[in-house]
Amino acid sequence: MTTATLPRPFLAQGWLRALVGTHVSRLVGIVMFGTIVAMCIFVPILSPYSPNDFVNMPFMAPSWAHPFGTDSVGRDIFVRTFAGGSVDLIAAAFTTGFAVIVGTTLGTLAGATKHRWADTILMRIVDAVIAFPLIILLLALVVAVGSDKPWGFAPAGLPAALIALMCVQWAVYARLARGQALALRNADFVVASRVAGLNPFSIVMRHITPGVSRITLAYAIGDVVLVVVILASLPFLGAGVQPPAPEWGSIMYEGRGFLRNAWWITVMPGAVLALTGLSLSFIADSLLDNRR
Amino acid sequence: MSTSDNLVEVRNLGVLLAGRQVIRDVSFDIPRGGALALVGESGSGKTVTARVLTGLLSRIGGKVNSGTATFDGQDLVNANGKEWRKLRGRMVALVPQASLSSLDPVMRIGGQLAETIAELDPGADIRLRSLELLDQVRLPRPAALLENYPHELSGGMRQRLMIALALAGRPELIVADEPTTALDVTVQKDVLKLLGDLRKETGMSLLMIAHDLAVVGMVSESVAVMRGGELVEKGATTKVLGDPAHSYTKALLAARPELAPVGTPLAVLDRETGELHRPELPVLLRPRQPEPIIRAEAIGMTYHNAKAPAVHPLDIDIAAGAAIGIVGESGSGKSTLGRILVGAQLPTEGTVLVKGKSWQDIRANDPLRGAVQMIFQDPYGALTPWRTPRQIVAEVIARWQGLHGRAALEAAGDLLDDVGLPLQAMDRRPGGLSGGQCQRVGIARALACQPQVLVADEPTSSLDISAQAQILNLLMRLRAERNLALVIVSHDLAVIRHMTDEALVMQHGRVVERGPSSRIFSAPDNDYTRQLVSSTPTLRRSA
Repeated sequence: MTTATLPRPFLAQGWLRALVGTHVSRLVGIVMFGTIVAMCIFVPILSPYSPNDFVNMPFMAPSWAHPFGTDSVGRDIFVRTFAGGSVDLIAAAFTTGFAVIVGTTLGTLAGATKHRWADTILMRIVDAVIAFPLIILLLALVVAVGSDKPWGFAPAGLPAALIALMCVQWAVYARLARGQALALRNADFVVASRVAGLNPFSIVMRHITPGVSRITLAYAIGDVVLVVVILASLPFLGAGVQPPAPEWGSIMYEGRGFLRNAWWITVMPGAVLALTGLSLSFIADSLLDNRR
Repeated sequence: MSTSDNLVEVRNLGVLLAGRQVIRDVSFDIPRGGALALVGESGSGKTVTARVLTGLLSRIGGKVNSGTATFDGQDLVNANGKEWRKLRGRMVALVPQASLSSLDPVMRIGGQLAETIAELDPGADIRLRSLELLDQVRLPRPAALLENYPHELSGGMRQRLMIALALAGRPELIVADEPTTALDVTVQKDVLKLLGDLRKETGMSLLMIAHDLAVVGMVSESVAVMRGGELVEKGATTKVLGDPAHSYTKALLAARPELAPVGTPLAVLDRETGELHRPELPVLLRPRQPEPIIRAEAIGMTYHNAKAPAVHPLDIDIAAGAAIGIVGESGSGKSTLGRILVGAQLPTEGTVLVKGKSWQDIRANDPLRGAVQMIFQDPYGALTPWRTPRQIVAEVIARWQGLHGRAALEAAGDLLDDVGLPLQAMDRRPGGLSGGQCQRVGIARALACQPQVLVADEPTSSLDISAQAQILNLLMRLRAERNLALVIVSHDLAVIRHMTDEALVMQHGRVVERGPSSRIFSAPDNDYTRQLVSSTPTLRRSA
């Protein structure tokens, strides 16, 4: 008998190629998103100005010195946009990550368990959470948590928004995961694992969860954009990140009164937000399109 | 207009698909009123060839890069959209196995016929022509049928309706790609006979694509065998099937279980030498054991909300080393019975006892759980898509054989090697393996439990004939080496007859006949069994 060789280590399998695959849209998405993230990290560090410095005359149109122009009090919008981007992206990644983990875990267990009553109870809770209006919850939390002082690293107003999103967002993933797990639990390969006597926990972990999470993860990447958009629209309701902290929504909100003569205050951060959304949808689409 | 005797002429055809030369130098003719069957295994290029003739090659991104193909003198390779539209109706593609999805579910039969007739046979009296077509395909009470919806027809009737629709434009050529592959044998026989009769009545030509040589014998007087994009042999069907010239055709025939003595290993073509060889089987040592491993008493299954039971109560005992066949058509309850025997599903009546213990009381960690294992019909579906064969098998070895980590992976490699999986396939995801390779992995996983009974649900029905021969050989060898009891669930009488000692014939959830396999298939007692036997296309060894 031959002594078969063992699997090669992870890196040798060309993880970069595995990540990008043959999808052009995935590559484009990753490059675009990577550029935006890199700028969010490096622009505030390398720039001579800090986001809240009054650096020049107010309402200066985009130029080499100020690529996105200056706002109503003379702050550099380029710096503010990318400094604010890290707030938006970290907040979105944090709440979405929380939602994916909690939602996928609960949903997979609900779908895979043989105790159908547990599934029924969880899904009714999910229905209730999804039916609850997010904006009302959010405004209630803003009142309860307060939006006037920062919490640690989080600028004022952000904690209430994060808590509200975390309360609601997981339910969507739970429902998605449960449907997928229900389909997989009757798949031949799961039946085969059961017949082979594998223990139920490892069947869920190795033969169901990866199939579920590839769907929820792909969905989550697209969902990050949604969260960014929600965060960015909160200032328009008086909630969300409070000035003077930079954040895409609050920058755009400040610029809304000057659209006619200083469009760049609103349009520039909006364009960065749109590009972020586009790049993430490219990635998400290519992941969902991943035929085996 | 060409005056040639040939309706279709294909000369030195070459097709490029996804950068690969998938068809090389293929030439054949179909005479007016004649028939040709293109036969080959998956990847042989037979379907791509048919696509050249039906104008559907560009849809899959293929390109003709050499040779010609003509229909009634008209060039098909360079035909434009307008020319193709003129050809539609004169030349039709027929796909009866997709009958339910090809028919509009919300349109009455009459409406669907009217639409097609108006398009392909303008000026005809639609009602008269509809009745004529339904009559032509021998559908009973045509006038009443026009008012029905597709779901109100039986499967066999829908196939006839599909053929009627294909006939609406009075075609000169029908291209039928695997017309009967997914059909039950009794329905298959009807469809093949109808195609043959229609040819005689209307004088149309037929190009049939098939993987099954036996089916070809029933409809076509000439046959062309394809392999790897090349035509290896063509000629009269009787000649090719009776006295094949090419080694590949010989191999295809030798791989058929009905042509080999019962229970003997099937010949397999060696890919490197091109020689046929028959693997040796170890001598079957079978100490008779009085006590069966599985004893099923009055097991029955009625699904929730179902009108009739899927399986009517029946008894089965399975002893070590036994080989039992369960035969039936779709919906006969044979797969349900198989799943009940392995404990994948609990019966609603009766109990299955494994060495005296009911499946209900056998937990996942009970050694008895490993004693009865299963092989699935869909080899890809049975393997977790994101795990490699080695991981899949190692996990089961770790569970039952007390090996872990590296040792389990190495043992998995040895076991996979024993079932004939090539080394380079062991660390590939199942999506990158062939159907036969996936089936070997499924068998290795079952063996990792060190089972005493193996229940195989249609283990070879989605495999090519040569892969089928290899898997059947493997199962025979494992049975002999390990004194494994085999339960084979199949619609294929030839497989059951070749592999098993005892058989149950099922129809509508009931066992209509049981007894020694050799007797059941040579001298069936029951009418239904007789009908099954006579419907099955078989090749007889020519003297």
